[in-house]
Amino acid sequence: MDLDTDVPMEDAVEDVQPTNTESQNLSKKHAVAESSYGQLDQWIEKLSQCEPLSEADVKKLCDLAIDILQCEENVQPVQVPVTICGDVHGQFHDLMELFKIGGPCPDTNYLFMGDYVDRGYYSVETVSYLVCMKVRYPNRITILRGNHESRQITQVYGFYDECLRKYGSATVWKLFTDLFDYFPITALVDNKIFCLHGGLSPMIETIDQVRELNRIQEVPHEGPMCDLLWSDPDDRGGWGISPRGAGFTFGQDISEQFNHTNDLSLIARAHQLVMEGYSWSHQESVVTIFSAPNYCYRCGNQAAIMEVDENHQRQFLQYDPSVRPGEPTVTRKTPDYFL
Amino acid sequence: MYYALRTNVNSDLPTLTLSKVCNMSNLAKSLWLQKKKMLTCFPIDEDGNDGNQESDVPSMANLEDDLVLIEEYEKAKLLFLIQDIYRIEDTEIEIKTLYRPPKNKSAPILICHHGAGSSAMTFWNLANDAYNELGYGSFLYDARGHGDSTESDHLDLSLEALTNDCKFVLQEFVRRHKPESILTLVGHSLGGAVFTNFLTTQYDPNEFNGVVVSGLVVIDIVEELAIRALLTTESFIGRMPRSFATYTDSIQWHLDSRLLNNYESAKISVCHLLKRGSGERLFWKCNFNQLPKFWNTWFPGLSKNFIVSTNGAVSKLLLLSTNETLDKELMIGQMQGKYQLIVFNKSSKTGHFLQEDACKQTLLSILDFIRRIELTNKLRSENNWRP
Repeated sequence: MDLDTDVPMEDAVEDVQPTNTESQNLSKKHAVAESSYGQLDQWIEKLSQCEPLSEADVKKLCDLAIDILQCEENVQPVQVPVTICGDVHGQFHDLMELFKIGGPCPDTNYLFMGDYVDRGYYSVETVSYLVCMKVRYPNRITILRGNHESRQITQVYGFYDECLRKYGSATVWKLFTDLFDYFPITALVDNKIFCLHGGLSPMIETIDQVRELNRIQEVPHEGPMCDLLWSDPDDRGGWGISPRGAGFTFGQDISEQFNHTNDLSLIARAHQLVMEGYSWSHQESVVTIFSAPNYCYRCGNQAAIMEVDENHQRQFLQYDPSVRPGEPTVTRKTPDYFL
Repeated sequence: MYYALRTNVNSDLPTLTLSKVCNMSNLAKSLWLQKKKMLTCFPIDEDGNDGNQESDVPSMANLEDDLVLIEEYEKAKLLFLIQDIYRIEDTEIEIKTLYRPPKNKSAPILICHHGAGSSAMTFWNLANDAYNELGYGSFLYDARGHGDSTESDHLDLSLEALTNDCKFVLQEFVRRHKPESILTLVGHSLGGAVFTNFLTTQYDPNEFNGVVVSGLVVIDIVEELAIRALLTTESFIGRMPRSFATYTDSIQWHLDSRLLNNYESAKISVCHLLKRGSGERLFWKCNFNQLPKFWNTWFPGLSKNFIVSTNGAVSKLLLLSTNETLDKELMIGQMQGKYQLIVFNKSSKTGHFLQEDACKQTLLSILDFIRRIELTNKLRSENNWRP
């Protein structure tokens, strides 16, 4: 690819008006990344065949990614047009389908709202691919953190085991989970659409309060950062304790108040499986987007992404699981007794 | 102590009572031991008989261990200050219940139902820690056909029968003890299916004097996997020893077969599974051969009911051992945030009996779960609440 379609100094980052030192840092980071473009393109080519990178390459990739992600904000500004996506969960072939449906990156700008790993069988390839794209086109793709981008959760739901299986050690798991700490936790599309993985927190009334959080850490068990990655909207009004064991549920009154206070038109979030791939709640003040079709190869749901154009017109694109040879069959060990 | 001595005298050795064995010199002991081939357990042969009767001799060390074990077992049972027999109305069926009230009236109470072939005492360790460390009360009972409850060859052990018992026992418990705190149902394996079915089909707070069940904890049971596992369970039952020479042998068998992995818990829970039978040998209280007739009724609908029961009024927690094995219904429910799922750490030595193998971890999970129920109740009672 000869033409670099990523134009670092012409989009969202510039709006932030960085201070002199920050600006110098930024250009230094970009310079580093630019010198790696050839390598990155090779990695992207390899990964698009669903072949994992070597451990050494993952190390190089994560170092490059930390340089870029640590400069991003807790509330990362994003401009329209952009295509907003929900959970992917290691379903690599469906992610490729997503880019077919939504248009290739970087021609289309993308915002992913977390949960790249666990449950599906290609978490390594999926997260490697998205991080590669992020480093290659930092202003064309935004990757937020989901509740599964955590050390504790990935040890239970598959990413840790997959790393052990594919690399023979936990090194790659360690590299990625250390990287996850740098992922931004929310994004703000054109100051109007607040995007995050989970939902609202009773400790957060304004977007500025999100900006004040220290996000570079493991996802905590409670508190505002935990809630942003774990909460769900609910039909009942007010705040509730989430049945998930972390985060809260929030009612329409809460969403409307938050949107009013922060002059927002919409909260876009992921985190919950919805059978049509997207679902409105709270009289269209909240939308849930879920981008893993037939979740975990057995749930029978559609997936969706949401395009937002220059005029803030929204369009949902739904899609089914990609057809491919050798769909993994779900086999699990049966205990030999059940007493 | 008298009981222990009496039951451990080996009738096959009329000239050598236990006390005599114990008084022998080490040399004599080893000679005596050499003469007898020791087998710890007896697989059933094709005719349904035990193995070689000649070798039906408990090792002396095990006999000595048994004396200590039985004393510990009796002591553990005494922790449950209130032990009542509930007779199911219009039947001859008697249910053994064990209740340890909470330290104060407002402390939560765990109501526990064991799985198939197990017994109330599988929860003794959890109940004991819950009381000592948190002040929680515990109410345990042996299901029909298990432990010290009525056992016969003609018992109906279907899910419906067990659920009806459950409703009766809980109503009777509420009537007798008038609990004033949060009640949480904790069901292991089949016990989880019974509690889930109870909440789905039978539970009406009005029939419990307004006493409300707040939480349901289901331990290590998933419909799809359980139904698949039943295909091999019959052959597993076939391979189980029919009897044991000593309690010590039985505990060792449970540990060797990895059925149980925590010796401290197993030494009490296993004692409650066995009764003394012919030839002074120890037999299962539960008639395992009766189970296959009923087990097709146990699990169908479990996952769906777990998600939909009580329409969210009862908080739910699913604890799984070592692997995330959700079926479709549970996967969708989990990904929609309908319940809490905790999968225990693979590296720890845990099997199906989480409440025994990982007692502390199970208790911590339940503590956190109940803490969130308390917060929920507080939120619902206070309007406009903000933390």
